[in-house]
Amino acid sequence: MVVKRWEDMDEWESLAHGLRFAGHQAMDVEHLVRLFGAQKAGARVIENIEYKLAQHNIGHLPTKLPTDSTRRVLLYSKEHIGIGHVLSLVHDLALQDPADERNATVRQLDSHLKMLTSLSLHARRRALAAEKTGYGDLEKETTA
Amino acid sequence: MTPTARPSLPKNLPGLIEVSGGAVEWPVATLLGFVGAKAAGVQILKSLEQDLAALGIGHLPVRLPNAGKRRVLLYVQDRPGIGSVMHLTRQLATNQPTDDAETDEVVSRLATLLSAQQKAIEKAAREERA
Repeated sequence: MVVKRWEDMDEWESLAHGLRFAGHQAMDVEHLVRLFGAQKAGARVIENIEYKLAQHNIGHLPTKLPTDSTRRVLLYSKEHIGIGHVLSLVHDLALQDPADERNATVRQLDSHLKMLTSLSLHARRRALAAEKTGYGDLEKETTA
Repeated sequence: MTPTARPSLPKNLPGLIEVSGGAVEWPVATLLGFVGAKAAGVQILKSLEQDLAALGIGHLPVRLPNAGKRRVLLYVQDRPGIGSVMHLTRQLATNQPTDDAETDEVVSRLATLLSAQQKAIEKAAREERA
């Protein structure tokens, strides 16, 4: 895979790149309209923005971007290993046709959630153990 | 003669999901078993969806599939963290609420929840590596 340098990326590639690290970002529709190089958020402009986002593996909520530039939207990277991937799976499942007989996405989401839950449980257990041994207080003092 | 009332889903179902980490992946047949139904008919699925909503349990896909072997993901909606994230994501994906101001508020709530969730995950991952 060829990794582009930051200065060689266009606006959409930079946005996708940032989201791949951050996972998600909330922003006004106006920001996307400017990124597209338009002045107003008309139906055609929004349709093109949705296309650009899809092209760069960026998901958005609500599913239909509003045409009012003052509205807020949430963008996420479908390539983000953590929360971006969970959002992408939940979004797909929410829109899945009831006749669609695949179980794959439910399984994927379940195993991803289990992984996230086990990480959180480990962290909680470590915090409790640290509190019991007094290491937690020491850590607080050093970070203070 | 009054018709016999159909059994509802057990009241302790949210607790059961909670102890399994806040989300479970079950075949539809498991839900049918709780209410003593054999087949996933339209009426049964509709009342299962109503029971789940009344218990504060979200499900994906949004419409329960009409085959017992198909799997669904159930989660506790008001569970701090991932349960609320899934609930709000599902709402926005299916364009609920329809009110603009309320939708914007859901977007902001979801963004705040995600940031908190992400910080916790990153912290946990760092500690795992350490």
